[in-house]
Amino acid sequence: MPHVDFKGLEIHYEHKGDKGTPLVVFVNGLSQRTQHWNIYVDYMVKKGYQALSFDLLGQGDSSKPVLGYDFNENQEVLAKLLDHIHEEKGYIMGISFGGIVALKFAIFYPGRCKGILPVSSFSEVDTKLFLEGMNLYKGMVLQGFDFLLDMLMAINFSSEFLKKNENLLPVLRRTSMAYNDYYAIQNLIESLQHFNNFTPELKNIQCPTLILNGEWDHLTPVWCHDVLRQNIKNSRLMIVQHGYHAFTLEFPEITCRIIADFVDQVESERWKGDQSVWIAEDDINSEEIAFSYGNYDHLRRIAIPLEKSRKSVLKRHEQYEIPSHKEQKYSGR
Amino acid sequence: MRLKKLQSLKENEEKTKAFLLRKKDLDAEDQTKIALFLQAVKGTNLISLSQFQMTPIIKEEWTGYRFFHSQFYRELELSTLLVKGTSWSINPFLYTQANMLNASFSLQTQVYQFLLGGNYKSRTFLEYLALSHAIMTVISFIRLLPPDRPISGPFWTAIQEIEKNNEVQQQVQVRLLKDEKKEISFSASEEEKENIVYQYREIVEKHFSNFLDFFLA
Repeated sequence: MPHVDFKGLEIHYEHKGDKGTPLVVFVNGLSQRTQHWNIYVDYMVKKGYQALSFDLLGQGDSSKPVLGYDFNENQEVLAKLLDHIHEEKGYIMGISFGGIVALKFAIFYPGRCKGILPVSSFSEVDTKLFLEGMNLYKGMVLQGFDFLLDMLMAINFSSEFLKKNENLLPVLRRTSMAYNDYYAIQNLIESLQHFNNFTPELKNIQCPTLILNGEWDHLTPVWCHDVLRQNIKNSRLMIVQHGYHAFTLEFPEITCRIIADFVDQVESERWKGDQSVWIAEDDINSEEIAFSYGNYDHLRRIAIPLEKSRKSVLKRHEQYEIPSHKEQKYSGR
Repeated sequence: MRLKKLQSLKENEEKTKAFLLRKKDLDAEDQTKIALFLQAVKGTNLISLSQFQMTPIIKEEWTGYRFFHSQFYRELELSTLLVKGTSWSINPFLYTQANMLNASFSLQTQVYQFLLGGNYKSRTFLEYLALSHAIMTVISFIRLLPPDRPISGPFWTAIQEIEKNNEVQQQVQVRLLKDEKKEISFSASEEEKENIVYQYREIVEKHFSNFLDFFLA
């Protein structure tokens, strides 16, 4: 099992693919581990890319310091890993907790990102998100790790997925409890206790950025992602149809295709970071990856034409520009 | 600083997983071994927790007290649950062997020092926190079971209840270990704290590994 040393701690990682090809890095969400990316790793390698996944400090087979650690060490760990595999740059994809790592990595190490894909993530916390986070934390502290997993199941997946995998879910729950250490997950959450809004720093992200958000993600709803879109110039926002917070697990084929296409667009210089908003196709055989949101307000759950919606008192941010791209194809081909 | 899990424990956990995969129902001897091991470990924790019952007498307001008070009775309750849930073996040699193993744990942890505990500003208190945290986080049998095997029957239900409670109870240890407030914990540098934490973690990992050796023998 490959490990890299980080300040006397062990970081477990998996690296596949041929040197000299584009590298895609996968950063785990809170209760994930490297194995969650197996489908993605295989897909990227088949596409002719390299793939790197790793366990954050406190996760899976990486060291689990008892007295906790600083959140910003995650970015250092990633830089150390890239050094270790002798790769200067990569495409960094991170989900939820890992999405923050991806964003901060792009801020702290701008020269080491060819592109980033923050998924189900955020750069600031509003009252509702704060309370949701506190509920998860309190639930875990008062009831135990399995209770946190139960809460996450309901947050992460659609009803159809939960029903279809009814028999598998208890097994997944037990598996997760076996490889995770409760105190280490607590440390991971507590490493965010001094989380400060870092939206003003987003303007420093210059690399191509594709922001992904599940259509029904109610933990980190679309406004969280729209803040990223509005503040990262070289970005696009894509809504993944039918997706909840962990749509990467529910719709891996769709997500793999989106990531590989993003890498392809950047590598072939077709990428256009114009802060536009897109809807991912839900058919993996469709010719295009995504289609335009059109003239509707993507921050609303009812089809409100943009003109009318701009008058809404619910609007969170003054800057609310969406470039017109009705005639544009997502792929730019 | 030592952060890597003991290799012998890793190997023994893997062997135990394979054993539990093959053997669906634990017989009385297997259950007795596990129960004696857990009873002894809980006993170590209980000895220390009992000392905190003295705290109100010294008339100092201490937030940790009510948590330790509640842990004391919860540990007693869970110990009783385990006694009731276990099919006990009638093999006397098993008890002798288990006692020898557990005695060596008491010696290594120098459990007698905690008999004079209760002083939450001492180094001994920090050592107790480290020991009890390690007990509650290192020792787990549920994670060694095949994940698709339902937890059922009085024995495994008791084990599950114990481990679930470990998660909730360790909150106090975690908080006090991490807290910097001088009125609660012994004032130690981060490095000193870490050394104490990993010293006791190593003792508990070795003990658990030795037990799994004994269990699989």
